[in-house]
Amino acid sequence: MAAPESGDGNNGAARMVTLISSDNTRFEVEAAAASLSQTLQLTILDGGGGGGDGIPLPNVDSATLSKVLEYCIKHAPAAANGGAPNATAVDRAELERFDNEFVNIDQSVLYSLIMAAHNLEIEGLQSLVAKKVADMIKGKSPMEIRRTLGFPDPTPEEQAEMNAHMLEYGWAYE
Amino acid sequence: MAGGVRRPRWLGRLHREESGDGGRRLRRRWRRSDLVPPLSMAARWRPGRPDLVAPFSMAAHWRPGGQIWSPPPCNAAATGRPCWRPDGDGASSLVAGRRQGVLAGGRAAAASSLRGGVAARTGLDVGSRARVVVTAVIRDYNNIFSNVATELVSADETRLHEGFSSFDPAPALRRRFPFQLVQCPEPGRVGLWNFQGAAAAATVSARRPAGAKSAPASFALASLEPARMEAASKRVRGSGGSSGDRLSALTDDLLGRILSFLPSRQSVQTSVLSKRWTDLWRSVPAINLDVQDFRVRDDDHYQRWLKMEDFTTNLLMRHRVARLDAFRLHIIGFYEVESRDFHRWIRRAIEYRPSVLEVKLPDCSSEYQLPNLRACRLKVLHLHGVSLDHAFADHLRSECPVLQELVTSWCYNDFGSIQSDSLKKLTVDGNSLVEASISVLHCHYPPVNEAVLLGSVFSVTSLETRGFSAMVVPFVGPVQFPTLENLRTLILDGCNLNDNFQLLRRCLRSSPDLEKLTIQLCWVFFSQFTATLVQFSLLVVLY
Repeated sequence: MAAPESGDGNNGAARMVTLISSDNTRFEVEAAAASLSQTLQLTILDGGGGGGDGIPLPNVDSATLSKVLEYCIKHAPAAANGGAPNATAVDRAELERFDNEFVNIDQSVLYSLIMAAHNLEIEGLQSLVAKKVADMIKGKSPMEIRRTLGFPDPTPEEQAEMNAHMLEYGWAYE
Repeated sequence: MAGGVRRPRWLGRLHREESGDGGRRLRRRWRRSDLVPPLSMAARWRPGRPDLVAPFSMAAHWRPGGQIWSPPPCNAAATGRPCWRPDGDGASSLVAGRRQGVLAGGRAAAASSLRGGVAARTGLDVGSRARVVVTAVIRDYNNIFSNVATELVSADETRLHEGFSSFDPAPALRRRFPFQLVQCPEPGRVGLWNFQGAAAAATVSARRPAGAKSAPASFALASLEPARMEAASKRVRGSGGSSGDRLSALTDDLLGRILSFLPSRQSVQTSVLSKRWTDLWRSVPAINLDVQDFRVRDDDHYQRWLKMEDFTTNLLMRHRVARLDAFRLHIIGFYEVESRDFHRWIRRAIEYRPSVLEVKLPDCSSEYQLPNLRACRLKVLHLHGVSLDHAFADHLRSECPVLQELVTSWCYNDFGSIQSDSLKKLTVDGNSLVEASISVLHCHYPPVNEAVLLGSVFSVTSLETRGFSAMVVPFVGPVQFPTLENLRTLILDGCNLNDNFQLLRRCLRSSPDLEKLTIQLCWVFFSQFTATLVQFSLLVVLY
């Protein structure tokens, strides 16, 4: 996808857009980075977000938004080349390293990120975070998963229910 | 207006729920059977039926920063969108802009809410229009009227109308009452927002019986996704605040996406986590089967296979998705297999029209042929230990128009050539590929991928390359550059030879049997040209 600034009148410097988080913090980023979000892309192509009026994102708080933008800025150059990054192996390794560190965060932030990536429709980020959560689950028993994900300990009732369930789904547990 | 409105039949199931104590009681009484409108709201709405709730027109008028909504001037004829026209007594009626009403209006609503900066989903397709419309609108509601939530719990309509900007949504409320209720400009109509899911949408119509000032409002509820709402209410009733709960609070789509990265066996096992998770695995858009996930005590291979067979049969029987994103079957290196079983599974998987298909069979079963892939949307096809007959390549070209990646290993390849306009990665293991023609002329292709391409066709006797760039060589490196042992004919067409003919030289050096070399329309820098011309002619003489 060509960066949107190439199409409009603002030749020269990269076009900037302003995003406003739910707690009214303003973020100014390059349009190319923000356009990683399918949702924002439409608005930006429409000419929104420039100048004084920013694009309000009432579903995303500032902590999450700054994290999302960190991802977008890092991935924007690669994405600008039509999905086939004109990158060297070094660049790709660097992106991979960045991604690994990027998701090395607290669970609650991770979940906020999933929601934000979903709302903003950032494909790469959605997969990245979903995969991270899956990795937290992978290879663990249901009880371990409960502990990892912070479920409260089951009450005796729930425990009985779980046992009954496992009996019913024997084909998946045996 | 409120008195004269004829209540639609499909909104009427909850009339009896005179909810004197507010939302708590209301919530307790909601049952799935109460929440089933025969059609989605938006689909039912028609111009000229203002008694049916048509919330999508709201988004068209919302502007960021506005706390209190006031209807803009109604000019439906000019804008082509439905809009609200204030009536004399302060109520509004809906004026339809276009005959096709809902969907046109909905589309406009979604678009304009985007312009207003609200993250609404677009990408409308026929099946999901109604849902998309309402989603967009309800999000708007959430943003504008987020602080009315506490109001409706008291179910006091008067307060709700007067004080909707003065309340903060209390966290405690979220636990007690899973939905946020927000006000519409029209008296007696209330929008409903589900805290958890962006996709859940519903409206509540709250109306006080005419003349009874203090009587509690009656509620009518219509939901587009009743199951999810019910699930959400259960979710919130559970222990609030822990992070497991936060994960559970994601929508089914998002959780399904997470589960699709897990082996299917484990994704089914998550159903024990809590009620919320019980049925999630059924709608996970990926099936990942690997015989390694199944263990038995003394590693009896046949027992292991039986276990996998039992699991897979159950899984395929109970899984309920219309389409799969990915189907992966790995029984590589495992010989105690019943071929009839996995034939069945693969046939079944192909019916789901996955975009990623990985079939890795034991090496010895290479008599297995893939069933026909009709009009498929395959993007990635990985095959191991499969027999590919001479029609395979034709089949790929005609039936898989978007195939981007084909990797075969340990396959019995009986096809002579592969033609594809969409292929980006091709790896053919085994030395049966005879002739390759690769064009990267019309795409921006990173050199490293060109190198991979080149390396993957090392077995060919005839190689035609178009549009390869000079930068291939550094990526391939001196060591890894494949030996093109069988290569007899090499055509470089439109390739970039700006690297002092490194590419050419490398090709020539690593193909001892080359008989015919054709170079046409290749790019060379003029300044380098004379210098390299000598080398070039020398090379040609040599071979």
